[in-house]
Amino acid sequence: MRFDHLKSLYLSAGVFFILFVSGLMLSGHKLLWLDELFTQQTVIDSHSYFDILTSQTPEGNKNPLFYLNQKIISNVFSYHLPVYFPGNFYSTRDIPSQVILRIPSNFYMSLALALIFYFFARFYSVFGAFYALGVALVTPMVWVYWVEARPYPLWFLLTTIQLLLLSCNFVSPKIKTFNKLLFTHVLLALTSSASIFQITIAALILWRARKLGKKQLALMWVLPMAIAVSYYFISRIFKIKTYMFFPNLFDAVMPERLFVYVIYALIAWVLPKKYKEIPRNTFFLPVFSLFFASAFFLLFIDIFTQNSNFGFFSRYLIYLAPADILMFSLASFDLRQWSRPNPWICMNVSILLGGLVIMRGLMTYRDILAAALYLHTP
Amino acid sequence: MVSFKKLLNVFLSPAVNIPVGIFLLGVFFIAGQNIAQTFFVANASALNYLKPNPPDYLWELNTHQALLDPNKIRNFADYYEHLLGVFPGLRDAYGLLGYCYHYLNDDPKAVRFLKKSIEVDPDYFWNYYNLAVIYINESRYREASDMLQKALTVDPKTTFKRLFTSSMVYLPLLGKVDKKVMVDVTQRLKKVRQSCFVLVRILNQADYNKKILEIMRKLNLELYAF
Repeated sequence: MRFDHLKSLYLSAGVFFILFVSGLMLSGHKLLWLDELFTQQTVIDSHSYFDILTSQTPEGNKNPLFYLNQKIISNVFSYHLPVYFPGNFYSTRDIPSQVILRIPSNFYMSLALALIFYFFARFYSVFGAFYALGVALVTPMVWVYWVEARPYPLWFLLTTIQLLLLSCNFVSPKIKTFNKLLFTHVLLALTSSASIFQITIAALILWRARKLGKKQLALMWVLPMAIAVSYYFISRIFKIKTYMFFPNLFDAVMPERLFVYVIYALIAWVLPKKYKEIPRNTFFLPVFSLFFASAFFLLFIDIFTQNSNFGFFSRYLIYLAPADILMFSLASFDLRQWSRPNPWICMNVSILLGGLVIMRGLMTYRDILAAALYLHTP
Repeated sequence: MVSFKKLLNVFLSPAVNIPVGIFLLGVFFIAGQNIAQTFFVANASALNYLKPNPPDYLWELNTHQALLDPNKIRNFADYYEHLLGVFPGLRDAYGLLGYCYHYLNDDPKAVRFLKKSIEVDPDYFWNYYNLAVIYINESRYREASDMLQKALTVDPKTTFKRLFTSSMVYLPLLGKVDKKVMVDVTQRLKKVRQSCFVLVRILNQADYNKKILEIMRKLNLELYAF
């Protein structure tokens, strides 16, 4: 059962509200850690809007959007970090700070998940929407960065919006997405210089599918690229040391899901047409493949610029997580549709997909538990 | 030569799919069990992240009560709660948890954990003393007197032994056990033990010494971890 725009919107608003309230509670259970304290004290509390826009801050990431957001929230609440930044202490307990500083991040992550829910409820089915939400909620990146006063939830949200708008071009071509996509790309460029990959990928996909005119494509690519590249040259974030690249990569992309994508690709492209329904969502396979490949480009850039103290962490690959969530949900939807005529295959596909989601949920729970992320009493 | 269509029909048949389904269920069941078994290790790993910082804060607080900071105490309470979740037999942690909850203004919880600590570890002086102090603050003088009398029956040597052999709970709080620490711990125990005799006498005459008791309650006697 598919919902119309209004019903999907109401349901997604409900999902957003539940997630946002849950995020507020999670904030109380997670201590502020070193990076959050550092950002707040050395950038937000001690620099003006102008300084942030012109990158005159000690942060490695110079792209200003997240810091401007935090500055606005801090000004709205007349908030300054009350605790002296202790430098050598890993984490600090201060409930008002834990909640206030993470309001934007909580908002972004809840909105991203609600948008995924809306997309599936509107264009696929209500069951598909809950399934996609489940897939998102068992993804470790969501839990680790849901409430963290750093740019990652914003990057996650903008990537989600970008991918959903890109998908709209294929799923419902009547919807005009150019202006929204251009705006999202500009915001992405203002959030992280690493977004050059995803902006380029989106432009490439739309160019290949002939969805936009040359001028539109050029504008959608050149303007955000100019912003991202200019911040790249004053940023130090790419001068990073790579170690444990693959563990980091597989923090962002779930390895067991790659197996499903291979099966999906085989069914979609290799199986003779008379034995399959034409899958709807194959458009996302090249999108995901290019996103996945872009992580290796990051590694490639990194090899030539290893001259700073930054380590390469899985959070720099957080933009892969929404691609993974959408790819898995879309592939699951198609695999179920494809297997529906044969109840035995349908049963096994359901066991496989359900089992993978449940196993990932257990592993995510275990990993979040091991890191003691939400074990602190407010 | 077997045609693709025949192969596909075999692949789609119940004869193949039912065993595959059972196999998949079995794989997920075993995998789920294996993951569930690692939850214990995950819980234990969490202790590394919950470990309070600075570790010697309770030691400092024990000697300078003015350093009281509920946020720091809360970190210790979270840590000991989780420690007991992982190792329920770790008797030393109950007493410290009671101590922490008292300073978090949660005396009902403090009493519960101190009672539990006495139940599992009857040879540690401070658990009785701390419970007695909470009873005095709550004007439960008879129970306080009972606790103090029991405290006085504990051999100080067993208290020392408990303190300096507790590798997971007390020793990390003491840091480097040098002469200064030994002297400090010994003198405190000696001094408080002596005051217990006086307290017991006053409490046993509670009916006649209401004014003294009132003054004593207002003195707000402190708890000690060690």
